[in-house]
Amino acid sequence: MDRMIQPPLVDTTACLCRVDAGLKTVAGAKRYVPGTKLCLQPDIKPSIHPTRSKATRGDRSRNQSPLLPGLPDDLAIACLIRVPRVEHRKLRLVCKRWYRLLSGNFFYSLRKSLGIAEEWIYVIKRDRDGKISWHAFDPVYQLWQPLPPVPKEYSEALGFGCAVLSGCHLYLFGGKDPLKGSMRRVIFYSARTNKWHRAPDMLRRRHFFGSCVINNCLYVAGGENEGVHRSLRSAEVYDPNKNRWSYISDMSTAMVPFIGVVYEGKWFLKGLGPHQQVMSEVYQPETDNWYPVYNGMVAGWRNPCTSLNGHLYALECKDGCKLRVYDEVTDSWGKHIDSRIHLGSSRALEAAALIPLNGKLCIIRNNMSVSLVDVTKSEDLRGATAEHLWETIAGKGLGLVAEASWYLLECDGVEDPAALSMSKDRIDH
Amino acid sequence: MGSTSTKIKLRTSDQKVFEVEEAVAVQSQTIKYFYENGCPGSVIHVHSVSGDILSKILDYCKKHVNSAAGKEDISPEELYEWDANFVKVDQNTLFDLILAANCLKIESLLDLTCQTVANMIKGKRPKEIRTTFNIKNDYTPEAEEAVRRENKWAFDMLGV
Repeated sequence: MDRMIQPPLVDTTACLCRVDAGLKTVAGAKRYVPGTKLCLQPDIKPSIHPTRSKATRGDRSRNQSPLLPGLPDDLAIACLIRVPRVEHRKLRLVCKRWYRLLSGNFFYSLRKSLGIAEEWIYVIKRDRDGKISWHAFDPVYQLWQPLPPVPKEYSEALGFGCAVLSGCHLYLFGGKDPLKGSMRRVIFYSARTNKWHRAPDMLRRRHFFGSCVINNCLYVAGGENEGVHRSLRSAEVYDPNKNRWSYISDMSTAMVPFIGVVYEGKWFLKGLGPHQQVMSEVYQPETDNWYPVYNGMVAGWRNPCTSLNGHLYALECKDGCKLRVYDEVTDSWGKHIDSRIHLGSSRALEAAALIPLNGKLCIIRNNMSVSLVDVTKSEDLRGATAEHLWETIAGKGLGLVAEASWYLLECDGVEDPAALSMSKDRIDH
Repeated sequence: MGSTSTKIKLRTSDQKVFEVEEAVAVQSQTIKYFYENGCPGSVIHVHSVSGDILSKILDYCKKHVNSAAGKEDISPEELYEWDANFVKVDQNTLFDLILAANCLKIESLLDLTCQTVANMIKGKRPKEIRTTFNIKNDYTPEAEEAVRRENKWAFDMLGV
């Protein structure tokens, strides 16, 4: 199997090449191609060619029909992994072997290692009537994809958390049910199986808390709870490999966070303390310590915000036409990238989320329009206009969402969502 | 060009002999290996590739070498177009090209040919895919319906 991790050159097919030594002496030939196996290239395994050494292949695959008749399986896989993600669910219907291939980790880790994994953007939104719905956006085909509905317990929940673990699992956790109150519940959607599953409950019920992912572990902190101590100091972590929640150190004071980001391996949180005062704390996972922070970063910090390639980005203008970048040297948000194309000041045009997508910065607005900004190219601008860095990949998405329902019947494929927009209460239309 | 450069001799499975410019032949990592580790003037046997396929592959290598070296005035778009035409072949030939590209270790050609197969799958219904590639449908109608339902959406073990 390890050989197959290094495609596109896959080494197990029949391949026999030989060098004729020509007029060289035997001694001479030996010097050039040592040993007696003159006819085989060393790193090519003996063949699985049907007319040659059949026995070199294991029993398992000999009894199976090939993935693509006429090609050895490893080369068939090299073809199948190149089929775009939007078609993947359809592939499962072809035959049982394709189904198994598409359900296993191997297929997707191969796509990832080859750099052809396609990230989709998942947007969770609340409609005017308070109902939660969600949509996936395929940035390559620029299509909104339908998804199985959000499970009932989250259909009207408030203040829940949302995060992606292991690249392909979208978690919803905590939150407040309008009737039942604060929840400990955790569920996740697997983009590979297109199903919702249950995960272990959190240790505390909480809503309007902060959450982040560091090293594929999910951290939650603070928030509210019904009862005497309304705001919480406690924090906990979920490790999907251990499938267990455990407490981490408490924050120094109780907080209802309204903004958070992971920057330089630390988790920054800013929120309201027990006396409605604005406060900021930072968590260091290595030492399991919280400490207050009062620098220029948190002072000028606004939602939405994200970190990309070690830089922190936020909006300078609400529609996302102008960005601000945190400059560590001056400890300020003094750097700007400006498209100089202001879209407008209506609420529909306000950016609801900023997320990193394939090395670019992705802006999602309340009207579900999506723009990409190639911020890596902003360094050499030196104050010049940056209009060309902006690229709109989805106009207003809402019309499309209504139309896209026919995709459900045919080829609706989903793979690993790496990016997620958590829009919660901010999106309405 | 050509006449002064070193030639490499290749012999195919059907005993055809090709004399190929070094720069073209070493596009294949396998041939390069044998060329560098063999001795000058020797014939490299390419046992698992037929003359027809090798001749196609050498066309491909020549086109790409010439375009990379600036010997041929061809834009990236034109080369892309050329590649697209190159893989407009019947399925057996395409599979032979994949096998040969893998065996000869020509990464860009393997990528191109595998992508071509992927493109043949794109936009087809499962039934059409089976017909195109001669794949047997081993689902029972019930099992197929179950996968179809699963594809739509599904809930699993949620206490709702």
